[in-house]
Amino acid sequence: MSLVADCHCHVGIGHDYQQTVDQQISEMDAFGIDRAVICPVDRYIAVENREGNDFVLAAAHAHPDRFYAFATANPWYGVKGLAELRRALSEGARGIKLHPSLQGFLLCDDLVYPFLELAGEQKVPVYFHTGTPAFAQPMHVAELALRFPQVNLIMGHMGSTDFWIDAVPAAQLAPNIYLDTSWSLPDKVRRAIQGVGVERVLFSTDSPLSSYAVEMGCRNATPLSDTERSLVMGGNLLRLLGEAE
Amino acid sequence: MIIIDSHTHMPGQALSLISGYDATQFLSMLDRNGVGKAWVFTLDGLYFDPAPHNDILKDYCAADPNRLIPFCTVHPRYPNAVDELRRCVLKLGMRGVKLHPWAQAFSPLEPIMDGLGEEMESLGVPVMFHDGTPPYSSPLQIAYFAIRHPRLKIILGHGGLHDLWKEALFAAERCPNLYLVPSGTPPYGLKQIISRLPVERILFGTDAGFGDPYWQPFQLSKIHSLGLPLGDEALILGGNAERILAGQQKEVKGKN
Repeated sequence: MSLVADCHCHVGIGHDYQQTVDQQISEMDAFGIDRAVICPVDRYIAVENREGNDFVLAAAHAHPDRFYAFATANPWYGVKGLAELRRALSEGARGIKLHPSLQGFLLCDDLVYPFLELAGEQKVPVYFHTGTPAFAQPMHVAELALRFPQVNLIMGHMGSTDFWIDAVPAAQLAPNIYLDTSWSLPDKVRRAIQGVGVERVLFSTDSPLSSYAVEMGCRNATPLSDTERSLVMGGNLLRLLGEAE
Repeated sequence: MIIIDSHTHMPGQALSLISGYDATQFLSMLDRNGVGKAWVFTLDGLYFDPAPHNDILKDYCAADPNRLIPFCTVHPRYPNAVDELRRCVLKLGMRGVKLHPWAQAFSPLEPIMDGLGEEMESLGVPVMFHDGTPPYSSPLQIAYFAIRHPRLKIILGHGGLHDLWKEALFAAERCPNLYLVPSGTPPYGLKQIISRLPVERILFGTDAGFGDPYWQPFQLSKIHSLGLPLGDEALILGGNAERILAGQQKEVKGKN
């Protein structure tokens, strides 16, 4: 049985989200999730990046067989933000998470180029929240992906909700774009596999905003061959992170 | 207890993700998921001339008029919008209205909405709006329409979707005549909404018929996972929708 790995969820105590490490592990256990990429929660994405990054890094260090930490920095912090990302990566973060609407920038703004250059240098993927007009659209991801072909970008939530129409055509423009399954019902996941190939589709839950019950329900209802299931539910993420399964 | 899906679409040509669903298949989808009745909206009528699509929807629902309850649509910018509304309710017997501000390219704050709102109030029909997406379908834009028409029952068809569920909650707290279908509300947001808003203001709905047949089990699991007292769950799953249309029936009868 191949590993099940969630490519994006949030852990921490913030303004809206209240997800402790223990809660996270017990929910993963309950739903058969072996590993998860964990990102900081709401306010630690917007501000106080270092505190949020330290929280997910500590969780990943305490549970190295369960978690991969993704670090964030608000691009408006400029060189300070870049330094924080560099620090977090040197302490074990496995990727970068950016949230244009929460952090207040246009997804493909030149403001973010230094972060992309860092990701290319360190060979880590960058996860972008998408789906929020006007700052976080699938075509913004395509623009960046074409500009930084050496960096793997994850189009979070595939543009859900109202940019679902754009997600697959935009991702077809650049081979370094990956699509994640959170918020997507079975037909959208089939559409993604058909459109960009099964190797570029990643299971994710966006917990605790969405829930393991809902997202696993959707994935169990998605018709997938054994090979497809093993790739989407974990294999692709592990390959992207350079992990041998 | 009856389950009523208060947000479904007759599959169509425009943007439809499923095809070939005739009324028999639609009814068997309801059976499969234990859903007793559905409020059914057009899809094509949101994008094309609504009148023929209102007729098509009425015929579709005639396959089982006790279970398939048609809601009409009108294009607020068409000069005949009020006449078409009256035709659908009074001649075709349609029970409510569905509007989609971004697909139909209007803002709920436009003066063209005044006449329609007044006519809906006088006919006593509820109106469901697509909501959750700027520029025209933010919950507070629809709240403006609710404030101007306090006797009208106005329903947010998606409970703010992912980005604006908080705005949907604030809009519903602001307007007692505003109801929510949490079909696009994240499970986390739905828990917050349930803890603050009277349960009578929440209706179960799925958007079934627009896309994936899994939509209904998916949305049912969202409601069940709230772990509400059975009485509250029954109100959300059907009681509230029944009450909204039952009130309307009395008013229509009273007028006759």
